[in-house]
Amino acid sequence: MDKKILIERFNSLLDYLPVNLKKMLFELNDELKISVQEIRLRAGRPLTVTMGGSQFFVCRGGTYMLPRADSVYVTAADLNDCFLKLCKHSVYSHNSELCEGYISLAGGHRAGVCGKVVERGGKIETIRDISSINLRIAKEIPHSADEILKHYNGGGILICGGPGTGKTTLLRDICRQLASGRVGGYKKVAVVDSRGEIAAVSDGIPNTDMGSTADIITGVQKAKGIEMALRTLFPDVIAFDELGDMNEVSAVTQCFNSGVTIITTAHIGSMEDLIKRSTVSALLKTGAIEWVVMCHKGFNFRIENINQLDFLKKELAVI
Amino acid sequence: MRIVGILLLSFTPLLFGLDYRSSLKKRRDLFLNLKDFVVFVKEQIRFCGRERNEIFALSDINPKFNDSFFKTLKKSIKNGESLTKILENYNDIRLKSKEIAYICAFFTELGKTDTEGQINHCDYYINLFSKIGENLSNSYITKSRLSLGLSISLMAAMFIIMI
Repeated sequence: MDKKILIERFNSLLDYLPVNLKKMLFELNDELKISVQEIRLRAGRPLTVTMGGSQFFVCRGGTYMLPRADSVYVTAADLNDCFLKLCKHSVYSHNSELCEGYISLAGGHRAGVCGKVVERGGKIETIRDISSINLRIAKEIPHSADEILKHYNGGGILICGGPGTGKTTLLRDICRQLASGRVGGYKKVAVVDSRGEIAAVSDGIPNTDMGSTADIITGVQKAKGIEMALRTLFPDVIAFDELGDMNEVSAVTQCFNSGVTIITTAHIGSMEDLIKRSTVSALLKTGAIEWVVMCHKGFNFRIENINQLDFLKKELAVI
Repeated sequence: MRIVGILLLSFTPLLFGLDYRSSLKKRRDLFLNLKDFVVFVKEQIRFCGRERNEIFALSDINPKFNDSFFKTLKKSIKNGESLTKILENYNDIRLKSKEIAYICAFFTELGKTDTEGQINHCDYYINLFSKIGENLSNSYITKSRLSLGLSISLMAAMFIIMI
């Protein structure tokens, strides 16, 4: 991604911060701004940024591995100010997202919100007394999935890896390339973007490049969204992020039976863990997945055809 | 010149009386409009879940919510300015300090809680602004007549004395 665009994306996120913190982060040099993945605010504690998976403390003029005397501290008032800006002074209109612990921001960024959960009747009503906020910077990397699509000749794809390893980035680029005619013609790609992380739709327009023939469903639970897409959009491909529960696996089964290709991601640390997680092994048993991409830190990944994974064949009796 | 001076002095109480009457009327109209504005805001929150600035923009369609007072109010809220200072310095309508405090309290807490909390917040201020508007309405009816009557009497008395 262009350096100028990355710096602009970082700076655009600073508008959600209180003036004192915004000034501190704005003064960081461009190389640091490009490397920052997250900005973390914690009440009464130093401001930190995440780079390369590690935490760095922000001080006047730079970032350091350890806190210093001149580390910038975040107050409760700073957090409250930031929270209201994230909600555009309308907490009530973001309540459904807050109950999931996040707020989607323009540009595809996401703010993770931590605080006191208010429950009623076993259901989360809202979060209040915000104690920390994690501003995650969205990074769109066009052509990041070139290596995957070089080997690809159809069939479902499961992208696995730990947090921050680039699963969503790869998913986004695969959807973009399929919907841009780069892999055997223009495919009708339905993206079920429950959290707004993939396409970052704002006022009906995706803020990331999703290709010409992608349809995006937002604000709905994934299983429901998959059913909706299958029934109304007649897609060639359905893509969604973070395989969750068995409802989603059932929805995937319906898709597979209808001849629709599935592309999804899952939090899995290694190939061997594919069979340990019940939802993932259930997904693999449906036969909807032909390719597994394992992502590691530093944006390294490996693609395998499921037919070539002997341990899986034995455990799942897929073939 | 003496007659002109006497006439000017004599009309002063009448001018004060008219000014007091006008001030009561403006405050009454403001609070009744504020009550209607809060009802509008409540509906937008309850049925549409619109964000605060969207609600403000939508309210501009209604001329009642787009007069000079509301324009000043909405602009200062969007810009994060001190609402108390803005209202204290707003010369067109001379609000009492309690009235300013009530208006500021409503807008300060607007948008800070979930839907149920906001609806309760709006309901409280609909009642409050309605009561203030009613009281001002009653004052306008009783006190304005009285003040007008008194000022005319004073005017006549001053005229007679000075003549």
